Amino acid sequence: MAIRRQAAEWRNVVPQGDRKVKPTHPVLGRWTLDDETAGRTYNETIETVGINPGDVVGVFTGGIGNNLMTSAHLKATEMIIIDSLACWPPDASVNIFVNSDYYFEAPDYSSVSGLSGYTVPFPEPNEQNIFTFESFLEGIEPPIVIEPESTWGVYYTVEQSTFDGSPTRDGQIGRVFIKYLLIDGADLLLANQMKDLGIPITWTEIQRFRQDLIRHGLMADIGDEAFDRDLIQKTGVTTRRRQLP
Amino acid sequence: MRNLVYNWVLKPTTYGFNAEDWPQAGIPFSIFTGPYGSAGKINREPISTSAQPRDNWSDKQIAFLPLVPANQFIVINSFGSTPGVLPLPKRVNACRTYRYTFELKIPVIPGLGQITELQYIESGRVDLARTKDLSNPSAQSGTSGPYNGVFSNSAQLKTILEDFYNQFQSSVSVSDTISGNFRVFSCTVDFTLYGSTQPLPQIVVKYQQTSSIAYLFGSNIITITPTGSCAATIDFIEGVKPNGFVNLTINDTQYYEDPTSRPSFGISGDAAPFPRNVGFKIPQYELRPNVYVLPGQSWDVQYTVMNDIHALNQYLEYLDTAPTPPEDPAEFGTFWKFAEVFLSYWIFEDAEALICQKLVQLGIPVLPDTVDWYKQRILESEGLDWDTYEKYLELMREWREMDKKREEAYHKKRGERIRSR
Repeated sequence: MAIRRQAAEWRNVVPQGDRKVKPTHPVLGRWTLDDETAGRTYNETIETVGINPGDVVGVFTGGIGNNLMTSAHLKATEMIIIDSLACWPPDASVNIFVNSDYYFEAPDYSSVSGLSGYTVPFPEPNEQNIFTFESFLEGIEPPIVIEPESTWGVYYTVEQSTFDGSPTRDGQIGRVFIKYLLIDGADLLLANQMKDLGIPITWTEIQRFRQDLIRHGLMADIGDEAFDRDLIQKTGVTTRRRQLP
Repeated sequence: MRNLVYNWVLKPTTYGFNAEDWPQAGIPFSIFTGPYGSAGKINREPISTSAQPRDNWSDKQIAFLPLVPANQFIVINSFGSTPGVLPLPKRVNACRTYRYTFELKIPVIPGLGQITELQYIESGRVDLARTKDLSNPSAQSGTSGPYNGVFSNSAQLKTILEDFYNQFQSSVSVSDTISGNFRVFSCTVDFTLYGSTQPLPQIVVKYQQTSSIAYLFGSNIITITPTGSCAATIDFIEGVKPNGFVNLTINDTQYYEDPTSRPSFGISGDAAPFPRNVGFKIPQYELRPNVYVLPGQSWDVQYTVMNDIHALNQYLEYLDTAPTPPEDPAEFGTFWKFAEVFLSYWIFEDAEALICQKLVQLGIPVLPDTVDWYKQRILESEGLDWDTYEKYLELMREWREMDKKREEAYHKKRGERIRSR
């Protein structure tokens, strides 16, 4: 599994009383009878945590919704290509950070909140019938390359206060969706080489580069064989050149 | 090569809430060999010449995880599952008790009647029980059922009806009166329904008035097809979303992991929905590149439900018994589709599987197009020495050019409506 298509999804929905759940999505609807006389309606066991304008929430370790155990840090043998982002509600925005740098920034290089749900909504279709903006239908072009041993994450911000309480519709849940390629193993070597050569790192380009390498290997073998023939004629040695000490 | 699909469906059709029919939240299970939905093991009719040797998706089950044999190559192309997050149930008021009322008349003298056939029809499926035809007492063919159907009083008739209809969640009541020369049996059969989408049952009763006249003129079987009506309604809780995730497993390795390299549940139904409804343009998630399953590897598709259906049922049971329930009592409905997973994959066999291996070696994606193309190249160059490197180079050059042209044409045609990466 040298190149794997991965995805991560963050949802601002947790069992009542929890602000965050680790390390994956929570089980919802776990109704418990805590007060027989007062009762407790089914929907009230689920809640979304209110987020105010100006709050910056890290979707991996921000303490709201489903979180990871640790921050996302790539091993020395891993590379990530983020090629699609999406979020909800429409006035929410997402920005990628790698180590200490933000990916999306304003023309004057000041900070911006990033891609909004109006541009890249999740999911599609959704209750407001907002669709992905044309220039992002093929994802982020060029994709965001996160190199080995980098720490990365996604920040989520909102323009208006989000729903706070027991949601009654999926559309009341804040969400972030990140689609990426995880490259490791031998393909990481290819990706590194491509980066050095200035070739965009996408899975189609990696595939082409791999074909090229195989072709070049075959060409080298052909040249090798021709050289061997000369060597045999001149010296009588029958060992292939590459096998000589 | 074949483009195959697998469609797993969880739509319980047993009566009432059976805990074993519903998956535990947060625990992945196989859509091939798991105990739930159409993967669950159920008793099946034996294959016979009169029955089609196949099941529809709602009855599909396979016994063991798919293991790719040496002469095959599998490419998993795409998948999708039921979308939705919140386990918000729909409260549907529907018929709980469906009632049939009918009368059977038999002459007071000799005062005997016989049920010759009882039918229960649901969704076109007919269950029936027959008894011996009294007009031809020696006939044996076509007889079945545990009783002979003869009755002379309401208690006997009630027993006969109960013996058959009680297996379909019914209750029977019978009373009789004398009207002229006839004894009239008034029968009521109440069927309990367990969901708003449960097909309404139909019944047919065939009986015989036994009298000397009946014997003289042969069979006098009377067929009753009563019209049913709803006698009581209830609120059914249905339409709960599964909040499910799909994961692929090759041997013992899970395909999906979270950004910290820990195994994850996979892709949600919102990211890769199935079915795709009106308004749908493109999936947020597509399995590109495809996943190859090589010979000797086993593979599995695991589904995880994150909404706790068992807890919902417990809550509904509480509503039925609580002294001051916060909501109206309701019943957990069955006969509705809870979750679905759809899988599309290619299977290449024999020589084509070998071609797949070769394509992998050459760094060419394994698709039906590429396999066909490679096969054509082999046939065209029959008799050539295939060990020459030049031939491989030529092949790869051809493929590169063809791929480039195809991609240009594809983009031209589809414009921006694709996500190729």
